[in-house]
Amino acid sequence: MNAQFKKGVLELCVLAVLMRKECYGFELVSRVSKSIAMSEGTIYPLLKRLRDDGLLNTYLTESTEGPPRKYYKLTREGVEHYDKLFSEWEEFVGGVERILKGDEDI
Amino acid sequence: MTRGKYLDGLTEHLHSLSDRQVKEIVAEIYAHFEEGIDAGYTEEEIAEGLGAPGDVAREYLKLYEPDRGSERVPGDSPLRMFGEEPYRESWELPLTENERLNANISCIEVFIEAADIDGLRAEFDGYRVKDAYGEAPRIEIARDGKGISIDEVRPHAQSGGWIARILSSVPRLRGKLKVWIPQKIGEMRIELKSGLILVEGVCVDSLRLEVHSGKMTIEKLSSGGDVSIETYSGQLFIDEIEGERVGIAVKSGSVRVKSLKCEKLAFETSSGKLDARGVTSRGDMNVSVKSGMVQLHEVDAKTLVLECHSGSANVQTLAVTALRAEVTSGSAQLRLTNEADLELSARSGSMAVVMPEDQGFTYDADTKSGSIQIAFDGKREEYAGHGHRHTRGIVGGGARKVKAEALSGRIQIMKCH
Repeated sequence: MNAQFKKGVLELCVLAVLMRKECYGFELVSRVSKSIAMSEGTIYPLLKRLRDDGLLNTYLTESTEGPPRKYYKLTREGVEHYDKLFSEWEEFVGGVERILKGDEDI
Repeated sequence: MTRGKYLDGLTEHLHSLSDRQVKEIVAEIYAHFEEGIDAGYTEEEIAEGLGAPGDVAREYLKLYEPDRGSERVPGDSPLRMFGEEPYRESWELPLTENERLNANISCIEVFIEAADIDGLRAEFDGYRVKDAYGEAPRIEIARDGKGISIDEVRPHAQSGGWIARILSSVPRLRGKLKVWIPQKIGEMRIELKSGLILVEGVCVDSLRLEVHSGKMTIEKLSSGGDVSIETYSGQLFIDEIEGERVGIAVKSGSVRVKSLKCEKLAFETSSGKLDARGVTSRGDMNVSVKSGMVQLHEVDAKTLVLECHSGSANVQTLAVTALRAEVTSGSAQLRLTNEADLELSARSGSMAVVMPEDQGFTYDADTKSGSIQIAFDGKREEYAGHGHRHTRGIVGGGARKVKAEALSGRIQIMKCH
């Protein structure tokens, strides 16, 4: 798959996971990589970028096993960004589907 | 691959970033291993899932350099880390020897370094500050394609030089700004409200630094003319500075100096603190302390004038030809290594001067209700009158002159053992 395209999709997936549940790093990575084949390590630079852009926040929570965990959480801007990406995605997938079904003339 | 090997590999690929940036990234991936192990995976399984350290590093590097992250040549010098074209060609701000750099910096860590080129360049947290210049050059940070304007560099009409105003319009922006300036520039002036400044290896015609509450470190700085350093409550560290007339003023902050060479030196503090070692002034040196504290070691000057109000001053290994020291209610201790003319005065405070054993001087001591002790043998005559006690004497060859006055205070002149 085109790397740039995959990157955009990865961003959407990360945001989608965080829309449903605030996660710590490993948990988030596992949820995404369960469904998409990828180098899990590349999610961390992505998380850093999203955080630098103000779409994510982090907070620390004590864990029962070992050191405190860093949790990721969407900011209001993050939620808005997800909504925007999601509708773009739906539009895009809808278009692809129409083409695949052969009814692009409708 | 084990966790240790993985993190080593990652660190190696990130060598072009700052230590702090690398630490943050390594901590992130380290935590991923921790969390994975807690979830029952082995280090090897987690490492495999993460993908090659080089791939992860490359993604991180792109964040710091959106344009060229993947193309950076390993081992490239910081001056050239922005791509293949040599820096000299992309940066030629027409600053000449007589021009001026004026930066007004707020709430940020700033590093100012001299470059062996004739241009001005800046970088913010690994991002290059855009090099657009010309009629009215601007300094801009390119970050993820979005430019954050950080004020501008523009010609300064009065001086005919340039003014670089950096970050004053985005006080909330925090990070590290590096500014490379031409190795030889004219007047340099930096104002810092808070934050941290590091000035390194710069050669200027004159320098003026004003720090409100920030921290400033100056290393290897030489000025052909005046150097003026002022801080309100900030902290200053100076390591190797050379200038003609050097003035350091501290309100309540602190200044630490290691190696200072100048023609003339003035130091002033209100309630602050000065600790200096290795101070050479070919001319006069003035130290004024209100309620603060001054400690000087290895001082070599033509003359020293020390004024100490209620604070304290301690001068060790002092080589001067003349010393004038005044204490109001504070205390001063001075240890001289050579013969000098002395003029000492203690109102209600105390002063102790230690001199070489073979010192020869004539002295004139006057006190009202205080005490003056001179621990050198020699001829002396004492007389009293008008509520004063007066002592005159001669020690050794009597070449130097010593004058001591204590109203109600105490002065001791002692021999060095």
